[in-house]
This record gives sequence, structure tokens and C-alpha cells, in this order.
Amino acid sequence: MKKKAKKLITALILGSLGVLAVRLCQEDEVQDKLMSWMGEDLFLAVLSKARLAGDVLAWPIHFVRALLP
Amino acid sequence: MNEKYEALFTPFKIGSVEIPNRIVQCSMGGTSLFGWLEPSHFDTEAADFLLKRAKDGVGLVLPGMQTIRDTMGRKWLDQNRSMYRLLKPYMDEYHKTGGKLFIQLAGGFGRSMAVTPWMAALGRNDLLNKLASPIVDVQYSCASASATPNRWADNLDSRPFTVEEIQEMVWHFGATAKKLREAGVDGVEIHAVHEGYNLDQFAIANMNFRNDQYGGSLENRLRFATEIVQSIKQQAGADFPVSLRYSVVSKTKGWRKGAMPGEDFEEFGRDMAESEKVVQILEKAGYDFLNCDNGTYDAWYWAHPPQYLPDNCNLADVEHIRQFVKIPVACAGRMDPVKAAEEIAAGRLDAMAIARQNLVDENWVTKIKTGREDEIRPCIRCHNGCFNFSKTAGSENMQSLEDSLHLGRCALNPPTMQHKRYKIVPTKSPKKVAVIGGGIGGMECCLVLKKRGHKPVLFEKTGELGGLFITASAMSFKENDRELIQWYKNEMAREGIEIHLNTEINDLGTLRGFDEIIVCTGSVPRTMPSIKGFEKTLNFTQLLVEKKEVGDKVLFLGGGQSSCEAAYDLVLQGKHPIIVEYGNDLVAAQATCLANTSFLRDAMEYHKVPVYLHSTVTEIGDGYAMVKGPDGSFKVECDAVVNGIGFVPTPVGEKGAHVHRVGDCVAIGNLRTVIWRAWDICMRI
Repeated sequence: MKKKAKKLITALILGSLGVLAVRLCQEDEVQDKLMSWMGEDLFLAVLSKARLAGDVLAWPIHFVRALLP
Repeated sequence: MNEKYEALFTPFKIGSVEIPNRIVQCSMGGTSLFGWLEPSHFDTEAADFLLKRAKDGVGLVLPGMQTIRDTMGRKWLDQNRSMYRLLKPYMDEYHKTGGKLFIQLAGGFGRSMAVTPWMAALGRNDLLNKLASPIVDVQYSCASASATPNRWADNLDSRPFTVEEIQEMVWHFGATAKKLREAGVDGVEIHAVHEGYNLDQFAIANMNFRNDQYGGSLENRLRFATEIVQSIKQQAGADFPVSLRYSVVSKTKGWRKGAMPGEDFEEFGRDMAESEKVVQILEKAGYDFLNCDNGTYDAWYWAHPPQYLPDNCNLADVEHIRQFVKIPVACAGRMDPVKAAEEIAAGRLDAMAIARQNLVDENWVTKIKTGREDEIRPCIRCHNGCFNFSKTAGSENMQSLEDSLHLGRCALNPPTMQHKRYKIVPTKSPKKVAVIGGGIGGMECCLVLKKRGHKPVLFEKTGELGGLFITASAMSFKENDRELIQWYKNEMAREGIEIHLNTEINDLGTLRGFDEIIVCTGSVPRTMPSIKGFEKTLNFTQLLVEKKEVGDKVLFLGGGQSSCEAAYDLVLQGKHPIIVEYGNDLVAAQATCLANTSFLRDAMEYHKVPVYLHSTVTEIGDGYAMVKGPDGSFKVECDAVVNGIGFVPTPVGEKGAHVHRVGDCVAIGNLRTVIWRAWDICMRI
């Protein structure tokens, strides 16, 4: 039971951190910084892939939402 | 208001609903209020886009098509209750604009379903399709009246719908319309006895071989479309307006073969004589409005005209068919608002349908109303951002997944349908920015930077703004491209941007006092010195802008879009171009829409332009070129050879923390890649 609780808490923390990171990366200032660190070509390539991943993830989310009453 | 537009701004009625003016925004895939090919949901991006169009003054907005059953997840559109709960307050807000909104409900794609390679693989394999069917059922999505060949994938035939499936769909059209009406939507449009979509496949005799109540006679072939309107009127109310998207004639010569403007041909799809009967049957069935143009997916350029087709290309056919009905009729297809207003005033047309101009310029209705036409950013009908389904010989739909998920964007206007990703945010630290190169990329950078509060200074080595796009716009049919260059020049002047013409920058070190530098120096034609006599070739600028004497027979080395467009321009001048292409098809490029490429391919065939595929030029001599093809080498007589093998980037200086690159000097692309990157960079300076 304890192990399961630990796993759940870890998943929650990691999930929250992930959401926080995504939110942060959506901020203009953070994007400006990222571009200056990574260089514009790498930054734009990563941004494009991240957006695509977000779009694909939206499909199952819409799918589940549509099942809700 | 300018008198020439007055008729456009008069109200008219569709059934019981009054539309405040004659401007109809046609449905565009991707601008769908309930999502595009995803499980249906209330799409806030599309909602924002559509509301802005209504605020601009579009009288009737039709959001992007909505299949009556989700392509992903296969849920019926009337089953998602939360979606309708969100729709109600949206419609309350929408109605404050005075505009009206009809939802376009689609009976599916049938053989026109733009299947990608993985979808084709599922569609061809019964077991795989069955396994995937709870998520995506390709065979259902491609189902049609009869077993007909898919437009996109070879060896993939549609399966015929069962009668039970048709009747199930008919009922759900009615149920969905009822829910939409309860949520405040003003009407629905049925998609479509039009463009070779599913209901059109039922209606066209050469695409419907059924021998049940949905095949055979004209009345039977139209039964699906008539039962839909009857189901809607029965469930949503007899006074709930129902429009029909309708192709007057198919302009189709056969599977995957379209007819050229002015061509004398035998119609494979619906001809005018049959169309005269069809509209009367559909009016009698209960349709309240016909939203018309021409074409099928086999002649796609009539429904989505590129620049190669003339303005108002469908108007004569639409006005002809209007004489056979009493319900109002709209015409779509490169409509010129001045001409549309004249026709409406003369009583020959009821409304003007315009689609993609609404993606390019969010305020074009206000601009024509207030006499600011020179401020309208023109649509160049490239279909690169909004609609880039592409196909070449033997391929399926080559569109990238990212684009499949996002139709309805705009190559020229990145904020369209992505307003949270591309936006003008005023800068907190204004900078002086040198922009090198006065092509489209350079000018776009200047405009974005200026709007953000920076001070851009443009350096252009020639005496004119426009860059390589001047060459691209030089062909006789490229008036929209020329309008676009003029729009940029006007905007640069309006924004008061400092421009230094005839100033070449070869050394970035000579630029003093700038915080940032953006290099937009474009590209130059690729060369191939290994071809004997290559130095005799002309480039596109010499052919199209400098108008060098080329004689009658002009051989194009390379069969890309530029070569095909230039060859078509020569055909229109009465000359005889020849194309030699290394690949297996002309314009074999991803992201160039099939509506554009199929016109060029069909035009070359119709005008009997010799096209040598799988071939290369090995030698260029005086009055001839040696061509090496799959069956050996042969001599082709020609007066000139044009280098159409592409371009190579020509950046100036090295990149750095404060030196950025935009446009073709990064990688060869198109206006979309140039303009979107200009925003990507300039939003972060």
C-alpha cells in the first residue's frame, strides 16, 4: 500500500512539474531566453515538435472529454 | 460607402432568417467550430476566428465542415452534450455582431477522402481496419455510393454504404440540426452535392452504380440529399433554414481528370442539362439556399481556384442555374466584390461567397466598406497554409501530420487560426534592427518589428522592393502576386520604415549602431556545370522580368512549380514549351496543394506540352538539347533552355547571438516558410 502511495505521489509531483514546465515555456520571456541559449534554428525546430506533440495529445483528451456527461 | 459596393451591403433572406448583407464566408476545412477531424469538441481557436469575421461585417459565416460522425472516435455529432453547452453562450455573443452563422454538416468524403499512407494501409486491409475501427475506420470514412477509386490512393476503392448506414446518417443530420437550433445557431448547410464529396458521389451517375432506392434514376441518386433536408425540417422545425453546398457542373473528364477553362469536353460528372433538373428537385425537397460553384476533386481547381483561373470563374454557370429556382443563390470562386455587387444589383445573383480572403485579411469587409481597398492584403491562392493537401504520381496525400491537424491557417498571415502562437506583443526594450534584403521576408520582418515598437532599417541592393518574388509575380496570370508586392510597399510607406535602396551589404561589420541584424538575402539559381553547354541556359528572371528573346520552343530543365507556371505563361503567349523532369511527376513537392498542381499537370496535357519524366538534359547546344531518358538519349530541338532546377541559399555573414536569418537564405521554401519564420524571429527580438 505504502509503495503504491509513494508511486502515486511521485507521479503527481512529476505531472505537476511537467505541467508547470509547459506553462513556463509558453511565456514569451522564457521563450526569448530559450532561443538565445539554444540558437534560433534548434529552438524553432524543438518548438515545432513540441507543438505537434501537444496537438497529437489533444486527440485523446478530446476523445475522453466527449465521453463525459 | 463607395457606390460600387452598395448592393453587397443590402440584406436578404434565407428561408425565415434575414442575413444582414450579401457577403457569405464559405466553409473552409480547419475553421470548424467543433474541431477538424478530431473527436468533436468546442474549438476555441476557430470560435475566436469566426467571431472576428462576424465583427468585421461578414453577413453569413459558415465554419469549416463538420462530419456528421467524427472521423476520429466515430461519435455522432449530436452525442456530445458538453459541446452544445459551450456553443449556447458563444452564439449569444456572436449574435451581438448582427451576423448570422450556419453550421456546415457533412455527409462524408467518400472517394475524396484525402488518405495519407498510413490511412491507405488501413483502408486496404480488412483486419487492420477492423482493429483500428473504434478509433478510426478508414473504410467507413471512404465509403461511398459505390465501389469507386479513391482520388488520392491507388488500389483503394470505396466500399458502398449499406441502406441502414445511410438512413442512420440521415436521422443524425436531423438530430444534430435540432441541437444546433436549440443552441442558437441560425441554420445549417449540407455538405455537399458539391466538389465530388459523398452526396455528390451519390448524385453523379458515373460514380453511383447502385440498384436500390439510392441509385439509378436522378430522383434516386438525389434521395440521400433530399432525405437529409426532410429529416432536418422534421426534427429541427420546418422554418429552420437549410443551405446546400452545390456544384453546378462537375467540369470533370474522368477519374482524376479535370477540364480546362474554355475546353470543349464530354462531362463525366454532372452537366448543365442535368443540373437544371437537380436544383429543382432539391428546392422542392426543402433546401432554402444554394451556395454554388463548380468542380469535383478530379477537377479540384474549379472549387479552389489557384491564380491560373480567371476571376469570377464560376459566375456564368451559377447565374444560369439560378434561373431554374426561386430560392437565393450565392456564387463562390475568385469572386471580385465589384463584379458581385453589379450582378446582385442587376438581379442575377443573391450573394457573393468568399472564403480564403477572410484568412489573409481580417478586416477586408471593413476596408471595402470604408474605401480603403489599397490596404487589403490580397489572397494569392497558394493554398500553402490553408489547404495544402498534396499529391504526386503514385503517392497518397503527402500532407504532413502537423498540417493535417491545422487546415485553415494562412501562409501570408500567421496569426490566422493560431492567434495565441503568433501575436504582436509590444516590446519593453525597443531596438534598432538592420534588415538586409528587401524581399518579402525582409519587408515582413520590418512590419512585425515596427508594430512591436522596434526601429527597423531596411537595406536593399536593387532599386526595387520585392526580391525574387518580383520574378515569381511576372507571369500574366499572377496579378494577385503583384498586388501583394504593392501591398507590402504601401504598408512599408504607411509604417514609415526607413529604406535604403541600391545599398548592398556584403560585410555585416560595416553596419554600425544596430542592436540586431536580420539577414534576408534570399537565394540564387542552382547551377549544374556538369551539363555541357549549361552556360547557355537562362534563369527565370531573364525569361520573365528581363524578357530575353527565347524564340518559340523553350525547354525547361526541371519540372517544378516555377517551370510549369512559366511554361503555362508561354503557352498563353502561343509558344511551345517542353519540360524535362528527373522525377516521376511534375510539381512533385509536398505542401503545394493538389488544386494548384493538378491544374498545371492537366494544363500541360491539354496544351500538348511535351513532358519527359525520369529524364535529364546531358548537353545544351545551339538550337537543341540532348535528353537522356529511360529508353536512351535523344535530341530535342529548342530555341532556348531555362534553368528550372532550383535555387541555393545565399546568406551574408555569419550567424550570431544578434545576427538572425530569415527566408530562402536559410533554406529554400515558399512564402509560408519565409513569413512564418519572419514572425518566429521578430516576435522574440
